[in-house]
Amino acid sequence: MLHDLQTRLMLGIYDKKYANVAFPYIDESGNNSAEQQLSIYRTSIFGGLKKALVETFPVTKQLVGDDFFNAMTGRYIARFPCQVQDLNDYGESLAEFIRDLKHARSVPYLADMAKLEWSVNLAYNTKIQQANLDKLSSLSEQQQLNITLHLANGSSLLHLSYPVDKIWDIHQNNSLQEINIQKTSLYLIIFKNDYDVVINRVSEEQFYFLTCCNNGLSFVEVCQAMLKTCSEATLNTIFSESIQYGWLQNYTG
Amino acid sequence: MILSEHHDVKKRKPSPHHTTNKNSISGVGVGFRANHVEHIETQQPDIPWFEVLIDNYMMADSSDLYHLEKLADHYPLTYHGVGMSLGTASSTGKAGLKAGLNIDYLKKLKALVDKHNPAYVSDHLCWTSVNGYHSHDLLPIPYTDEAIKLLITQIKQAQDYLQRRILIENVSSYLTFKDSVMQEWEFLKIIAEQADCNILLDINNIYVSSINHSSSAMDYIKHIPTERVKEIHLAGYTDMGTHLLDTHGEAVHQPVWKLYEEALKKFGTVPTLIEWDNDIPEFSVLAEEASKASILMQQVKQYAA
Repeated sequence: MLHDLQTRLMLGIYDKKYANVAFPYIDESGNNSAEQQLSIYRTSIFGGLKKALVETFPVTKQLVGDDFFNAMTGRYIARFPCQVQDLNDYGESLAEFIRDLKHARSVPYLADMAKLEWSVNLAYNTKIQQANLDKLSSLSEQQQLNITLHLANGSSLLHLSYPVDKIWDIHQNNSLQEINIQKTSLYLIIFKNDYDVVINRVSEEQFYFLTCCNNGLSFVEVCQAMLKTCSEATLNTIFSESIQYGWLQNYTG
Repeated sequence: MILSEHHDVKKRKPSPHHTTNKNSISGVGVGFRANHVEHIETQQPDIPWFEVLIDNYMMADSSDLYHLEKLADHYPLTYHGVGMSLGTASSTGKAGLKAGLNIDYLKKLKALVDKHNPAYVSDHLCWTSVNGYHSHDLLPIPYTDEAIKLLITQIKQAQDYLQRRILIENVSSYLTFKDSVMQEWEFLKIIAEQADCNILLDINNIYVSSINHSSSAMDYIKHIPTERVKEIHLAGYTDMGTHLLDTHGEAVHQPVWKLYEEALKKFGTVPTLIEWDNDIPEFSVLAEEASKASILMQQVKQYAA
């Protein structure tokens, strides 16, 4: 009985179209109708979730303005009710939602920006982890071939179509610099290094190498996959750089 | 995972949650908010205790926890939560750790409670989630026997898990249910007594709900069992025209101060918190509100003597 009431109330709050499923439970003997009472909660809940989305996607909001962002996130919340306990984890599907949104097509790089900001959010909210790659040298050559290399916790590898990293950078520095937003093929790694979130551009080959590692392939399998398209010298360079720049931070096995 | 944790609870001896807590509080505290961290750490203001919104530290990285550690080094703390969702009913009709209560949340909460031993741990007389959907808001419960039974079971299990008595807070409400068969104060009283938990009485919430539902705030205070009230909350509401909204975004309003005075006369000088969560002003504004409450507390104390 109580579960049924709560289920209907939650449905009626999140989606106004279904508000009537909650009406039979609500007392209308006071000044406000059932919908008026329900809408107070709807406004409050949507307000809280919108605030959380603003905090996670500040540049996306800046690109479209307050009104558009407010309307867009209102639709998003109704389409994707919150299913996470921590508000930092809410908004995972916003980039895909924007990609499908007809009204957002005039800002073609908006979905890429949302994707970048979500990845920044993921990295930011990840617990700092101790790197253990310094112990690699103590392994035998055979052992080294069998290990699996890992990116830092909360890292994202993104293949995007617009140089949104530059727009994001400008926003962080409050710079008035103009940039040319042309469609391109952009490979990024976003990760946490100590307390800072780092966004690095990577080459297609570096991206492929890191993706193989991220997919859980052993080091020997990563090498085999890479050597199909690049030389051993290039592979050595990519491997060294991946450690040097902090893209790879751990290994297992 | 959940099963083994549930077994832990079952195996545990009867809860010792009625022991004395060394980290006791008195006087008027304020909420610990990110905007004031630097001020508090550098100035160490003369505030007797702070209340921590503990949900903010459950997924926190080391930098957030570092500030909590620093606070705990200098001040007594209370932990206030919004995520226990004590009133969530499960689809099976059963209550408890495998049903309505979120074991993962309780586990994280217990780790922090064990670390800092706060004077009190509190949450709300409400539900916030159901079927995996979260409102991140404090949703009202119908005042029925079914809800009483559920809440008693789940509060008891939360107390057993945390190994301490918790405080439950009355929430502001904007909606009433046809099924309710009693007043909120009666509902709260029965639950507190039968679950053997304490009460965090939010005076602003009593006032807001009394205006929204045309009920008597004084009547509410009159019926709450004195010995159960261990903490009081004060905050500012916003007048929305059609209703009052518990925004925690303004100074405490005059009718709430008046009601607070009456509450102090009935409950004694219970530790009181100034809450401010939206449009948060400079720390000095909160300290001034705390000072007002403190003066009122002293006046009532002198009058009683």
